[in-house]
Amino acid sequence: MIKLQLKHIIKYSNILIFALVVAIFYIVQPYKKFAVDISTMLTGENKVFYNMSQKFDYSKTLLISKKGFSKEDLKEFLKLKKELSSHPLISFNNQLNNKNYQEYKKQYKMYLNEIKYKNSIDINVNKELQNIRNKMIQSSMYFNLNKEDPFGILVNSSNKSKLNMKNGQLIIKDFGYFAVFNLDVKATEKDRVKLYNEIDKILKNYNEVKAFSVIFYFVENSLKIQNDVRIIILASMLLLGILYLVVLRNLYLFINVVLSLATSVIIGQLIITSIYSHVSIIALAFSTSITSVSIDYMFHHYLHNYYNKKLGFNKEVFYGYLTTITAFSLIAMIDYPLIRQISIFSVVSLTVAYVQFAFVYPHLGIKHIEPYSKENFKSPFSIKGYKIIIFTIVIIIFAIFNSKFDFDIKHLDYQNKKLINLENFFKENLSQSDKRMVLISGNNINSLIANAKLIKEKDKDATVPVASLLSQSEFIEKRANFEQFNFEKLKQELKKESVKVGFKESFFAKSYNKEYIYPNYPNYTLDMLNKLGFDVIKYEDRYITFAMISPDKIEDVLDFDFTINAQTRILFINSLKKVYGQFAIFGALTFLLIIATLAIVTKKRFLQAFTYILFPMSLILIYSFFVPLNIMHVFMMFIVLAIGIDYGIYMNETNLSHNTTLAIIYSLISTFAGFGVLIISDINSLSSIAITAIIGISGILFLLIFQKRIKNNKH
Amino acid sequence: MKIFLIIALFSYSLFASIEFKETRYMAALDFDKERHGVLDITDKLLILKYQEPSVETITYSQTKISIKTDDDLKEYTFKEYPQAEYMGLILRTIINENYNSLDNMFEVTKNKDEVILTSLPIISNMVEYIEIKKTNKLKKTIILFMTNSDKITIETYN
Repeated sequence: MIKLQLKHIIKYSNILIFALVVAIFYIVQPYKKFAVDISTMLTGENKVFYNMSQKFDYSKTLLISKKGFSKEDLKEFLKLKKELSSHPLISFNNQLNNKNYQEYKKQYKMYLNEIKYKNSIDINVNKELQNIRNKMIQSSMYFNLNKEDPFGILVNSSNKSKLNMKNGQLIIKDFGYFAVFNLDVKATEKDRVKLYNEIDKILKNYNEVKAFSVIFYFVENSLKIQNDVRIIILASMLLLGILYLVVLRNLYLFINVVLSLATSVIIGQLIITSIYSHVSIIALAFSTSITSVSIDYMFHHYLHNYYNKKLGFNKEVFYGYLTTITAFSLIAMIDYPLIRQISIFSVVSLTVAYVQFAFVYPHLGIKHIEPYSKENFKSPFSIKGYKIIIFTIVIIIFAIFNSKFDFDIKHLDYQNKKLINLENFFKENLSQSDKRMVLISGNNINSLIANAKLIKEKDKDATVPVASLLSQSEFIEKRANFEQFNFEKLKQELKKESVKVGFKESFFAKSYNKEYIYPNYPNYTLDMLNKLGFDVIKYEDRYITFAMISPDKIEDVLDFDFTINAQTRILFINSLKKVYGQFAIFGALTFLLIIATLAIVTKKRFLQAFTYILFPMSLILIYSFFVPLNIMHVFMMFIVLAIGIDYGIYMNETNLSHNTTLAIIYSLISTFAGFGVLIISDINSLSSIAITAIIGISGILFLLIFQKRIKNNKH
Repeated sequence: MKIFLIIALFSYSLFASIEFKETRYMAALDFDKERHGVLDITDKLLILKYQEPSVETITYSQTKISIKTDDDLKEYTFKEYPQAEYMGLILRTIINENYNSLDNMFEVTKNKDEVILTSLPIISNMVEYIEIKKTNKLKKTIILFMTNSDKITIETYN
């Protein structure tokens, strides 16, 4: 009785495990931790710098421009501006109207501006006052006499904004009115989406408005990628489902296989999200594709009658599984978040699938249904193994000198052309196009300001916000100048002469006051700088801000030891350089492991089996002559090698049976479908995985059909 | 009939000259300067024609200001004379009652017959605030309270 019950439990164990896993899935909700996160492609300090550069950039800014300069356009624009400003999270951004900054500028006006004269004796007080009086009385235009600086000795040294104005509004020349807003948005995806939708709702009521904010990228790209991944998962499930149903012609097995694969993916998700707080959505998309590798374990067991006859343990499949797992484990040693996430995910999901297919399925009572064809496929011609080896070696040598690589990880993200164009439109019109971002660091705020000034000196066209603050050395130098200038004498003379010329006695009481000439040096704090409207953050012991540098000056600026190149391309290369050694070691180890396993398992047939690794690799390298390889291509190339070894091993069967050929062809088609479906994605990382898989698997299929097989000696 | 009235009113507002009196109080000299004239406003130009005590025409165009007397014509671009650009703009928007377009420079408070424009930091070193009073539909008093204690009063009569 108990035995019977146990039999039942085993028979339905797949469903039970699946139900349990789904229940945990809904409780833990691992999918909430999946995000589109380019920083998973960066390591250590570079990741920190990337996150910083994201904080600076235009990330808190919303740029709006309404086409046209007619009266109606202005009216519409002002209405839009008012509507946007009334949103609690959107404020009208203008550093010129930052009260704190204006007060700071007033307090240090003597230090932040140039002085027209070297000494007070250069000013003929009586004559100047006469002039002022005449202008006030006679001039047709209103003469605005500055009480604090009647002689106008302060000359504004700050760079005039290159922006144009019309009717009191900023404009983009030849386009329309323009405004900049500040977004007070929290970094959570939910908040971003909410604000995005609200802005979108407002903008919908207006015609011909261009709007751009970095948060649009986050929201649009993340939605796009989530949709893409959803479609990919559905498409690959559908494709594989149809394929398996047609191939297996066994509904009971099919249902079980679907449940097992789903279980393997969900357990993979649960484990990976328990290790990482954020998991790249690329790992999720990859995960469904990896099931097409795990299904191979089922094909080989099933087609060799392991499920209907008690044949015991299938060593070949085990070797195949072990090598693939070891390859992924070795790759996971590389300290590179995205690759580590994908590798751990794959190890877990492959293991769950393997355990089920190898140990649970023989007890499920699956009946064997013969596949359609019994005929072995005969190719019209065949190529000898050594010829293929020679071909691949030539290609590999050629590739060493000719392969191209693409290090710009931004290319791996979804290319949102609409937003890229909008960003370029604003950048060009704000004369920011082509400018490259660098991070500037300083041990303290004073040295940060001094460093920013050095950069501004090197590149006059650079945008260096912090350089507009007063530095310690400037303060000391100007103070010394002021002592020479003798403001006290000027003030006394002004008092005496002004009455003589006819001015009111007390009118100039506040002119050239000590509080402006001899203020204390500002006690800069992080909080103060932020209130003044400057983007400065503290990282470990350093203070960091940003600057936008002209392309021809970037090298000079980067020569300073306090600058860090913040371009994602460079950060990525630096990240790669950091793990380069690990890449080389673990890449080589993976390769050696594959060769060693092949050598042990295949013995004399090694050379033929080896072609299953070399040939797909050489095809991918040929692709790299035309299209630069990115990190995902390289990563997928290793996976293709790991998959290739399975075929190398399966091909080793002494008598290559009809069922092995079938198992291989089915599993190849399924891998093709599993990874190939990623090519429909607009996200470059996913389509890169797809194209590599397609090329690699085509190579394996080619060998399977056209490579001349070694005759079996025993028969 | 109504349409004719609307067209008539519209063209009147476009081409009519507004009579005004300007009083500048200069605190430094404790001195008042009074001038009378007419003001013309079109889409592109703002023209102040002073008739008393002397004849003089000040024209604010899109990019420059020109001052014409009987025997002289002076022109300044707004780049040389940025204050003039602000003054022209402020005057034009106040007369057109289009206060929203001053949102970069002032905070607008509207009461029943009175509008107060409080200057934002960008302009607060020049103007403190502006008071606009309306006595009836066509009559207006505009007072600019300057930071240096000067006061410019413009009264329009029609």
